[in-house]
Amino acid sequence: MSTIIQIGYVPGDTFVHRLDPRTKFSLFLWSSIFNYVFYDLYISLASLIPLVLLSFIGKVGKQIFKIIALVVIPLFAFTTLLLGMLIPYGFPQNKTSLLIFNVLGREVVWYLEGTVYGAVWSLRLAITMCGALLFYLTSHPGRITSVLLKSRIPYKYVYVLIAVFQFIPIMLSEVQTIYQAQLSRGLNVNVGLFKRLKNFFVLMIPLTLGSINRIQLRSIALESRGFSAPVRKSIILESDLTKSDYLTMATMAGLTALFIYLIMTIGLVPFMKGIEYVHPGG
Amino acid sequence: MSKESKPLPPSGATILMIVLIPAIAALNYVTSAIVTITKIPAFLDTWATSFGTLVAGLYVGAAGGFLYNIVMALTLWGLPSWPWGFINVYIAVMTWFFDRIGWMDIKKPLKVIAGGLIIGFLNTFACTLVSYVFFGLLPTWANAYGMATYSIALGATGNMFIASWFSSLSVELYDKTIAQFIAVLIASAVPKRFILKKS
Repeated sequence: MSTIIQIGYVPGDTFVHRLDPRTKFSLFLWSSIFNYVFYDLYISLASLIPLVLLSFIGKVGKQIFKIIALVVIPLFAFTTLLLGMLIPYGFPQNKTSLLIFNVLGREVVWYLEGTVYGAVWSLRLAITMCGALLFYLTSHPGRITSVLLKSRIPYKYVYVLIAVFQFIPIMLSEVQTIYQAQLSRGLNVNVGLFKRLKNFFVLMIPLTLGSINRIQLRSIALESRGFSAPVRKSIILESDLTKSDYLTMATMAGLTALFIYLIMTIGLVPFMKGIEYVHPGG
Repeated sequence: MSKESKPLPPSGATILMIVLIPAIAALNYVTSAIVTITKIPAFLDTWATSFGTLVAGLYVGAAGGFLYNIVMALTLWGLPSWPWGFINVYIAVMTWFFDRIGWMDIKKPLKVIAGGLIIGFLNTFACTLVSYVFFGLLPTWANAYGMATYSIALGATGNMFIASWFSSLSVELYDKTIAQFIAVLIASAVPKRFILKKS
């Protein structure tokens, strides 16, 4: 099975792991929002670099890089080809040619505006994915639960959110077992599209029916342990803000002030010379 | 009974529904993974939303579907993907509606297909809107088929709105139809004692 689907909390004792989940979640939201506000490759790159560094400090850099490479690099390559080169009239803002070359006797122009548009949107996606994965891969589910309960969110809502992260690895493990069992019963995986769809049923029906049985068992177990009892729930892992959290938040606050200053004085494209702000779709 | 004591909330079916919500989200997630592995040119990650609606009612299906997108936004897809959750809510509402009028019945496969086609067609407009706001109308489906349909439409019209809509249309019609069919088929195999929705 592909490694992309086997992600989950990566245990560790790094600086990033020790940060409170609230700080990491704030970092994720903050970096995502500002990258969607600015239309500037330099700002996007400057935001991505610290996130990548943090992911390597947290020893989750490889996992994050794999996922980003799978999603963002093909998108960037495709948009550069489509908006910047092959179909110049496809992107309305194209006017500055970077390069002109011949392909099979046909003149191809590589445009700046389309390439920048594709790069900015691809980087936006990379930054938000990196921030999200940094939060998810380095935050212990117990600490997330603790933070959510401290925020006075009702326990049943907290349970619903946290249970997904428990269910996913269980179901992935089960689907692998079903897959191996079906393979041993002669399931052919190197087949055409319709057979592949049929194979999908072969995997999903036992998985779903098995899951329903387990849901019933789990609900009985929850009830027997006082899930709906009107008492205060105990927390296994406490999570408190430390000096590192305050330092990270202070850095974000300082940069927010700088970004607001840049927006008010220069605009939404502060560093890219000769490029105008482009609305979605050109 | 003293004044401080509180009545116990209803349990049983309610807890079963609470546990079913994350299970729906996880089933959508596993589907997304299987589709990636088997290279099926579709999403299919809404079938569990429809299944949850058919088995446990609108709120459970919608909550499970929305939760799936929140989880994906917090893990693999990144923040901009959370609005896809509204698509899952829309699918839950449409499934509930078609179920109420008797179209979501495995004994009436043509009606299931018609329901899937309607859901898929209407969904293309919502997808284009989400793509405009969060993805700059770039193709949101990073595979050869999705990119090819997007390129053809953009090359023919020069309009990114139309390219994005056409790219959605080329997949949503059959994707949602298959997803509805899977949901109805599996829901029909579920023992009656597990059906939690109010008829």
